[in-house]
Amino acid sequence: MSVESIDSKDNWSGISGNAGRFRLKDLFIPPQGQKVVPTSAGIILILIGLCLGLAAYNTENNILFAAFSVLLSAIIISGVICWANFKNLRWRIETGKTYRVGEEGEISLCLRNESNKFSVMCFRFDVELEEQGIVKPLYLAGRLGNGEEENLICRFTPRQRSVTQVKLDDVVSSFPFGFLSKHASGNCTKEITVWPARVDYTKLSSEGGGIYWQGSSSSEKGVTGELLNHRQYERGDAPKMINWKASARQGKLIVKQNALEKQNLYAIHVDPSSFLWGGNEIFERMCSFAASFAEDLFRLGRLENCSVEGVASIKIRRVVDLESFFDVVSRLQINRSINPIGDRRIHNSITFAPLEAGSVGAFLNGKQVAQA
Amino acid sequence: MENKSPKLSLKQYALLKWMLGAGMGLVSVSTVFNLSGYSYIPAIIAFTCISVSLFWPAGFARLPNIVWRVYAIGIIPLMAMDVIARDTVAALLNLNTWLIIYRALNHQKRREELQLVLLCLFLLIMTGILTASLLFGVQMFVFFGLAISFLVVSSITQCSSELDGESDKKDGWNAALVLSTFRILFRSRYLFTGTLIYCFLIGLSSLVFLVVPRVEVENKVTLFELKSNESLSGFSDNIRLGDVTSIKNDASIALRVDVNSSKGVPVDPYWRMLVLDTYQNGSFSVSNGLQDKLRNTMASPFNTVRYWPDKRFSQVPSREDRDRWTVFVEPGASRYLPIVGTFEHLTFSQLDKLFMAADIHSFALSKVSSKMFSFQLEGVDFSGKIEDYGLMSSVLYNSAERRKLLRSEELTYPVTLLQLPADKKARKIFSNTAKSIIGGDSLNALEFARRAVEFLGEKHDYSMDIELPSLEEAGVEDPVARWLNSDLDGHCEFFASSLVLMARSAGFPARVAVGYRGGEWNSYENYFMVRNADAHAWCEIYDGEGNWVRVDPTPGSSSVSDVRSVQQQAALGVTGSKAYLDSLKMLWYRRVVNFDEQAQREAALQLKDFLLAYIETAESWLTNAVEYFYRWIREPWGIGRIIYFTFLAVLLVVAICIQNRLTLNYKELIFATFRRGDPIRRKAGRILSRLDAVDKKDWSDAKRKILLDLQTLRYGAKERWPNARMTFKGSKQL
Repeated sequence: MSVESIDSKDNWSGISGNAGRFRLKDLFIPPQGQKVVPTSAGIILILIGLCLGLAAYNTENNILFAAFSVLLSAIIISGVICWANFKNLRWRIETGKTYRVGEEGEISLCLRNESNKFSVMCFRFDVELEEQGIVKPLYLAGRLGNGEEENLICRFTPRQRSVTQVKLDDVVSSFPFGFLSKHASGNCTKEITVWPARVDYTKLSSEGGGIYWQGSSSSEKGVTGELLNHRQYERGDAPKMINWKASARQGKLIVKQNALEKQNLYAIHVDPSSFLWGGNEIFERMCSFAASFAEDLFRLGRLENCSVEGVASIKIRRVVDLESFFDVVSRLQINRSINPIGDRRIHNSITFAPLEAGSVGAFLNGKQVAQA
Repeated sequence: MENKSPKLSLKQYALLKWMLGAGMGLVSVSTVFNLSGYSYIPAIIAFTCISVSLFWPAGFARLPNIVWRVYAIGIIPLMAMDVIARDTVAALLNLNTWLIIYRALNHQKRREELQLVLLCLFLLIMTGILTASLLFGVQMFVFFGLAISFLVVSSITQCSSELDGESDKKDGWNAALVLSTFRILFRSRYLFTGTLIYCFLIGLSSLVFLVVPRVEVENKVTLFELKSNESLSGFSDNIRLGDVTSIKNDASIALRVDVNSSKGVPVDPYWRMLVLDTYQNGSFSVSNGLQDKLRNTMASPFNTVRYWPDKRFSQVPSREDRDRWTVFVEPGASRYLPIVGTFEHLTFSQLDKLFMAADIHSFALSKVSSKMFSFQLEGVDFSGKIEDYGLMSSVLYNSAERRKLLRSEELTYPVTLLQLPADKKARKIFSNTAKSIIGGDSLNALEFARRAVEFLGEKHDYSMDIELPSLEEAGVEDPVARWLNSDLDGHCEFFASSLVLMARSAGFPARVAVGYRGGEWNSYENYFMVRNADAHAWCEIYDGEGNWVRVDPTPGSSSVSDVRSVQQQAALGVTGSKAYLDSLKMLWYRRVVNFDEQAQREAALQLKDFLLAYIETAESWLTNAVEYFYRWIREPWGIGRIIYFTFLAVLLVVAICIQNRLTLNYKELIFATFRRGDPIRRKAGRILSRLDAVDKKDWSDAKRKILLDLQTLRYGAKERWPNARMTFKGSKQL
């Protein structure tokens, strides 16, 4: 087991906060963000308790008083145990690096029982992905022993590209008897970026366009191209291009040089101006198309630069550069402040423009090379 | 290197829930067996079905839904038949039992589980109200233990099933699953936590029970009662010779009497229940006239002021400071209240159900109570005298009128107090014996009674086993006359009947009184335990001065009303396991069933006194300790003393040094055997949790190293452990 890092505790949330101090007041007046609601069983129990109490007073029967006392005690103990159960639990959200529209992603809710003596039991966590409109319940079924940790996995499929707040909306427990349901706000938020969806598009053979492909794009990994030579490793080269045997023989890193390297490099330029993109639907299609196109070009090793009008220009050398471009596209909105500035052609620049029937075209030096 | 404690699977939780549900059903149904005068058939069916389901759940789970629907509909005509044919309360109990069968064998959803809990709770409370016995108290404690466990497991399974779906009982549960479930329960902290919650619940409930404010309600609502059959003890309106003796064969407790008296308690108390006036062929009974008096509207205690202006009957105790006798009569003992003597105040919770016959100073309920009932007497006079309120002088002491009345066909009260056997030979025997006792002297009633007791004591001894001479041999039909004419031994009924009939022959009105005599004093809780074996008969003779005087002719009885203080009685009382078990029953009656506003006030005062006494003791202990220390320091310090204490101080220092050299301190070493896990890991964990709240940003490398060492001790493999003692020592700087 690895030794826990010193400052890992700082990320944890819980109803007692990091100090974890006991305040008697909290037992009677729930702090802000917390509430205790009787469940339907609890309401019935309270009503029965009232009836029993009434009967006990009217008959002076101590058997009824005894039953009334037990019911009352059960409600009190239910509240106290529920509070103690909550008090020892800490949670935090852990997210992955990449989320993409239409592809299943995972969020992990890490739980830790801070108590040295008692277990915590039975919780429901409502995880909300705000911009996605997704609320997923996660359950801690059974027991989390003293000092133990557990991860609850939330699987979801993002619906739209955005920067989404993953929020632990509500932490609920009806433990121990199910009479009272204690709710606490999760106080735990994390931001994730959902990249545009990968779309299929049609590549068109273009005279003098220089792009070698034909047919439809593929999401399969790997690059194609004839092996021409070996050369010395340069910063930014993909590790899978390294020829390890040759490197071992020569004592330095040697990479394979494909025919593709000799070919032309392209720049992708995205213009979110409102005069181009009238509606959200076609704009979303454009974003997905641009991201998919950029990804494919990167895989072919033929992407040099990605830029967004009025936002950013990113030199693409490594995967992280491409991911930065995806992040920018994820945040992209139709920009109504940019005015048309006429044709601003850059050499080997691929731009996007709407076509008829709601499709989007990719244009290289003014000539259409693909359509989605 | 995670060392997680074992956890129960969903299937194991489901098994546990099923078993707890069945256990809950069994306990609640078993309370029905506490009731007397109730048909146990539904309870037996319920008990059998639930027991079978406990071991074979798959059998009931496989039943098609239609069976349950038919069963549910079938309950309606059963209920209707019950209501028509039986008491409503019994019908309600039956309905509840049928529903428990339905729900205990068929619960899946949370809603259904709660229904089961509520049904069991209702049955439990109903039977509790009807019996109020200690056994019910035990059952209630067991039930609440099972119910809270059931609810906890139900909460967990609800959470788990939303995750994994319902566990199916149809697969059945094998022995291996049951064993593994219990093994996990015992190995992990489930059992410990459950017991802790249960103890907490019981403690809090007891506290709530004690502090919930009680108010005395004058017109309280009467709760339901089961119609009961005949008295178990056998004390009824008609007692034949041998009836009381047969009661004596029963050693069970008939009543318990809690005494709060500064006047002391009688050494040989008489618990007078009923007086019998009319006699016929060996059988004394309550005459019709007296029975009418016990039944008419004037017999209500609310009219008591007409007879006894100085007596009070109330549903709440008086505020007077006087002795109090609280009598707890066991279920089915008798409908007559055992009265230890005349009194000033009688407290009974259901006065509207109480009837009294002022002429005989007797009190009765309308029917035999199926549950324990209690009443309280205040200002009790146990001299054995009962005041008559004036009937005797006018009728019985006018000899002409008396003769006329005695000749009539059917005698009416109070002439029945002089009634003799119809058989002339028998009358002759009594009359001759009475004459021989009087011996021509002019005796008053009490003197006659004294001589008659002496006469009977000289001629007969006490024996429970009697064989009377045959009719031919004795030549007289009346059994009492036959016995009196012989020199046979006899039991209390013969002695009492003989004395009464002799007194009547001599012209003194007399009657037989029945009830209990004596009882054992339980020293654990300081109360009288009166058993059915203490059943007794004696007689009351009219002294001609307005009083009925108790005379007990049975050998061994004391004519003097000796009194002992409660403390003396406690020293002479019984102890032992049986007495202890019985004292628990008394505790239950006293502290639970009969806990009222006054008891609550007394409990509060006792608590206050206890705290004050505790503070006083602590204060005196502290004063003594300071004084002792002062004296000790002031004592002359000789060489020997100095060497002795220096040696002790050196020993202490050495012990502290040794302690400081150890990794664990003495407390941790002692408790290590009782705690789970490695003590060094535990200690490191404790220090780490203390350090959690400390800001570590500005820590030096040395401090971080200690922290890392602590973490290694807590979580790391033992092979990589640093020196634990040095690490713990270093952690003191953090």
